[in-house]
Amino acid sequence: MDNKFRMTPPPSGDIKMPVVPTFETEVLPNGAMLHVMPGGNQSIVKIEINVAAGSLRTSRALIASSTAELLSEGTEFHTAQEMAEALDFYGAYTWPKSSITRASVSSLCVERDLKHIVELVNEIIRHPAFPDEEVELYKAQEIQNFDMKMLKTPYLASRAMLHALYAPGCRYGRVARHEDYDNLTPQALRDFHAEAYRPNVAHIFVSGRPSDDDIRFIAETFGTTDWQPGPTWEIPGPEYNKTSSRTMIEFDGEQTSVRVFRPIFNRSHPDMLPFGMANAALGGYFGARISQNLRERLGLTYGAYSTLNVNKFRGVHSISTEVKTGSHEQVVREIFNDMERLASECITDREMETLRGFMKGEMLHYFDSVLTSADTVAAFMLEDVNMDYVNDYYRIASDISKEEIRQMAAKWLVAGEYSVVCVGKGVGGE
Amino acid sequence: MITFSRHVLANGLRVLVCEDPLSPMATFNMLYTVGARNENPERTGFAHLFEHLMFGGSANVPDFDYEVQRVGGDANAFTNNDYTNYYVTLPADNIETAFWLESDRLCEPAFSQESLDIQKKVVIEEFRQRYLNAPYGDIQHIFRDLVYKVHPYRWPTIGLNIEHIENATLDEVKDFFYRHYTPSRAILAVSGNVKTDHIFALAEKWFGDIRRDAPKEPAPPAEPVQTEARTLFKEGNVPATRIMIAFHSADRLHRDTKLGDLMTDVFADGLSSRLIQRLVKESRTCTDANAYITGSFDPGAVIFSAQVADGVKPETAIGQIWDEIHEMQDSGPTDYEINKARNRQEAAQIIGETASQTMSQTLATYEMLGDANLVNTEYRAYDDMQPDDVMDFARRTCTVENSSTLIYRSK
Repeated sequence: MDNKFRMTPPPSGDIKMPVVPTFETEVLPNGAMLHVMPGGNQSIVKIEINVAAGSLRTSRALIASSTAELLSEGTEFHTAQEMAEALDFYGAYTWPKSSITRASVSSLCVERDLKHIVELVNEIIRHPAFPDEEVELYKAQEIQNFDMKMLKTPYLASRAMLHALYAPGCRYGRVARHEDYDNLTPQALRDFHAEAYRPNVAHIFVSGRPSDDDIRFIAETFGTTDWQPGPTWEIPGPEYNKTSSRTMIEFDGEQTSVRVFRPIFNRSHPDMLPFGMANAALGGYFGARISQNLRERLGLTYGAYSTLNVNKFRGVHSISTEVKTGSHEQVVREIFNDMERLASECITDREMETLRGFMKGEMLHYFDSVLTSADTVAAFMLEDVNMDYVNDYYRIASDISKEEIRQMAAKWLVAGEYSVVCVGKGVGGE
Repeated sequence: MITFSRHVLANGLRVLVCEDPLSPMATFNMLYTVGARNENPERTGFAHLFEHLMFGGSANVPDFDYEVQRVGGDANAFTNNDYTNYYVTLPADNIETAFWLESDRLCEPAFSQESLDIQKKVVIEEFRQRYLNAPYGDIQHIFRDLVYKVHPYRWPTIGLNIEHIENATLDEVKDFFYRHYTPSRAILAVSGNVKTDHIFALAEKWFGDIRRDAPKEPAPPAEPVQTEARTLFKEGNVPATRIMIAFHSADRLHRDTKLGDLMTDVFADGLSSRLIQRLVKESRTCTDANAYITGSFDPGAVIFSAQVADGVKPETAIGQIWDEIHEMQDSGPTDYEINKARNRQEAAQIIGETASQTMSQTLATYEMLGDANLVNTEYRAYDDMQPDDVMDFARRTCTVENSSTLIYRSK
């Protein structure tokens, strides 16, 4: 067969910037913000009630996440069993989520069932009871989960990383301990709920195909002045440890978890997008240097990635990988070598081309459907990210030069600023 | 309702297209009808190892990932017991790049000893990461070996052990490729912002001249009927006792598989289900409980699993699971429970239809089962099933002599 036509790649076009849809926003009478993004071709609706009830808001570990998890386990009007029955009957997917700054309950359902679901979610958000027996059961489940996680080297490495990053007492570095479960009382959850689940810190995101009548119903349900505003809350900034460190934790695992990391700027820093390109070149995708080196050249790991994790208040740059036992010193050396090489030599034309394609394609994924678009735009809103962000991202991905990437690497990938954590067999340490 | 089109090339390649003009992306999904079930018991893990090697380039594509990422795409693959699935999600305008890449490696991947040596190391680290370096990580190895004695479902996709991966040779790799990777054993499905005629034309252009074929593979050995109960105790570095109970059942398209699906929905789908309410919430003998069907193409199994609460004997939890099974056998599910299960199936169907990226994979899987249109019709089969049918299924399937029980406890 004639295979000559296979020798040349087919033509490919420039990767277009996604169309960024916007929410229609309405301030409800009680201060809650209702954001609606209609779209899609199926009769489904996603609703998310998001409040400023993250873990940084409380001085005690586990309170914020446990409050979110237990919202649907019994309310003032229905037992946990009755709530479970009502939610399950409609086949809706309903799930809580919590982070360091916020907490939410989301539900994805068929449009015809939306009003039932809205009533249930309203009850969950505003009238949870945190019954004693449900809290006790949750504690028993979570203690087993905790014991299991403490047998995993990646989890132990994540805990050690937080300890190394943040100063003692800083809430950003807090990790759960066994005794924290003992202190988890129904009253503590009720108190936190009463303080934090309030309309003046609530955003209600609706996407998909709600009818006008549905939207009115949502506005009336969550906009009622019976739901009273509460205290506002200023998110505190982090306090980092002043110096980098090296932590070796001996643990009888089948692999060694390696983490290399540093505190870095927050989201508003001008280097955020250009350094994001340098981070991607280092380890942001499968074809990036760390992955190619540690996995495809040396075969020491199944995966290795670098991550730039920034929000409004803090930023962390980290490299994570699970590697063959006994290879951790070599792996750490290779990671620092890859960082040094990125800082001292420009990436190749081929890498630059890949990087531009990867970064633009990555952004398109976030706007693949009305549901993913709504999630992306909601995340921007909650982080006070300007809607020009996508334009800026595309401009940087298109125009940044190889030399600018090298400069970013030289500025931020400074070996002395990075801490190291290794957890596994034969690493030494405790 | 999913609207799609189907076309078969002269070389046997089946092509399916599902248009979604609202998405800026397209997903190119190539399924090969080879999985761990086609492996030699002395060379397990081979289908999965081969999947890794498919990313090592081909005659005209020295670097597969470079070409994907250059055009804004993202490529990955997975192997299960029944098939191997490769996919690229990329901006829809650049869909032809995926045709070029996939067709070139179907002509022949660039096999090399160096690539094989590296990927063997990578897969061994994957084995350690997923199956050895986590509590209960080896439970699939132990449980499958208890449930299946003959059929290749007795090992997980990663393989029976690390030695099988270490011993793979380049000749075996090439032999595997020519036996299993042919157009007639492949199903291409494309979904996203594409035009059907254009995709059919691209399929003809890039795959039409690949004429290679291979003899039909013999079916894997059938699992003999189990005639007595099996029980295995295993101790490991785990924080709590986990129980798993399997009952052999039917193949993927058999009516019994749907009855098993309905029965396990009643047992464990959602927080209101029987096992969660009774074992976890009321008696508190377990901190978690589940029931599901394996859904494998060859005869699979109904599985019950539970995490036993601290201080509770595993025999107590096992006894409670059997009590629940006996109640199902005596009284069946209620009409309300069946309606709830059907509601949930229908909602899942409607919600699932919005996922353009996974739609191509779903279509390809149904096509391998014999009819891509099952994507629209299969869930309707549940409408005819009555509580008595589920009760009858429980009586026939969940018997002591058909049971395999694993008790995995802390050292």
